[in-house]
Amino acid sequence: MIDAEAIRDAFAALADEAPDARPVRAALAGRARRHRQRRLVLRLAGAGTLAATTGVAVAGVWRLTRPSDPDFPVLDGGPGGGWLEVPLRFRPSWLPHRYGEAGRGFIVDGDRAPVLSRDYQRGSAEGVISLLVGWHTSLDPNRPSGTASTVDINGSPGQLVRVDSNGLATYVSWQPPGQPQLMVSVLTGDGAAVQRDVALRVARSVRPDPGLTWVGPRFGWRPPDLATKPWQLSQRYDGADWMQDVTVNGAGGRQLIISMGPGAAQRFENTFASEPIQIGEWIGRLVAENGQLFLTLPDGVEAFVQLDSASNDQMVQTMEAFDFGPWPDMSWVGGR
Amino acid sequence: MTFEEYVASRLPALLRQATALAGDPHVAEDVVQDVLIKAQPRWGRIREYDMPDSYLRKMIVNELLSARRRVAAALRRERAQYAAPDRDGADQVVRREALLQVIRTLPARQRIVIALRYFEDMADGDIAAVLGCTEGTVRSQASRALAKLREVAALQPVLEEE
Repeated sequence: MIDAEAIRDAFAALADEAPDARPVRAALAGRARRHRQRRLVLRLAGAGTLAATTGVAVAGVWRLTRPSDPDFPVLDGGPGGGWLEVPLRFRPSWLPHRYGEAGRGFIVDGDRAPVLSRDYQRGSAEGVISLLVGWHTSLDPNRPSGTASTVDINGSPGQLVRVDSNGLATYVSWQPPGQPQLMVSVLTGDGAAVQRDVALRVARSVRPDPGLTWVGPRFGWRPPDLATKPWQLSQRYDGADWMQDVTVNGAGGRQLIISMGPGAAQRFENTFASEPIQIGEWIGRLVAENGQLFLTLPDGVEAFVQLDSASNDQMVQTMEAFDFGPWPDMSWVGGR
Repeated sequence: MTFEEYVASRLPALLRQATALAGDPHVAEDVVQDVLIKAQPRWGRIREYDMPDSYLRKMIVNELLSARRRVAAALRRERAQYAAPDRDGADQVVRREALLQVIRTLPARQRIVIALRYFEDMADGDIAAVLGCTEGTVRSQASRALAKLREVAALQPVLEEE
């Protein structure tokens, strides 16, 4: 005979298998710190855009000629392009074995993108090496602080900073004459000596890159307190799906995130009380309790919107005026 | 209560709760970390609620039901290769082990429903509120789960607590 008590006993036995809280708490602290560190290299959860309209040819040819790389997916991204052309300017000519480009980030301030970040990973592995081109005052709170030493990067003086707080990270920053500030970040599981060697070797390998990239999405309206703030755009992938995020940070930690992509990460899975909503031709669900909006765009791309401390009207107005732009060309994923 | 104070006092309970809901301690650890990472920046709002535990339980349930998590859990279950239940065993321990194996392999939503009903002693109406569905859906999910559990008990009926 099986009864309710037997089921309770079984669940109690299952709960007894729960992991020890102490290491989880330590890991949590480490993850929170790494999460903050990674903000520096502009790694944001992200997604895509609406109408795909231009420039398919180059990306298509590149995909066909690209060597097969099992570490990285070939993404079915968009045509690329957008309202703001951004020169890549620099790239590392050396990276550890099997590392390839896995993410890009931009800081957009007005009609300029003063900062571009290029993130390199070994497929979906945890470690990341990033090249940050340019600087913006919004990054100042995240400027790495730790054990610093002076280094030489191809004749330019630079600074190597080792940050060791539940997660080792090494940063090398320098500014070639007449160029923007450059910073290489190494956030891998390696020890300090290896990270230092990798950071310096990557930094010294940095060469001009004549390539271009674009910012596709654009705000038409933002809540007044966020209207003039610089914003961040990130492009990356999750599994075989591209992702693109737009993020604006305001005073008191207030944040607006618009995350786009064809995958499940943005899709409405929330079981909080929600109500159906339609904005133009986009249908979705509004989770007023959390300030969240889930939209399904006509081409099947999902958009997730979160705006802290906002009225529903503000969220709707933001999205009514938001221009997704062309979906990003992601053919650079896996390149070096 | 600060976020750090909350974690210090409530993390063991959250991990137990998540393990029961997930059916797997490794998944539970992962989910609880993800949920707390997400909760930390919003703690100012969450702590204003009467019961932050309830809010976080909702977040844990949502995370367990997310598509990405469901796929990962399914793959993990396939790799886990739990031993077949010993149907010849008649004692309580053997039956509990058999029950556990079935519970672990239930679809996430079914397992969550019976975990909330039997482990958390929640009423179906409250479970429906957590899952954002109707009480009828809760009952049908529970019924399907119990049917599978019933097989463990040599096809003997489960006593419903209604």
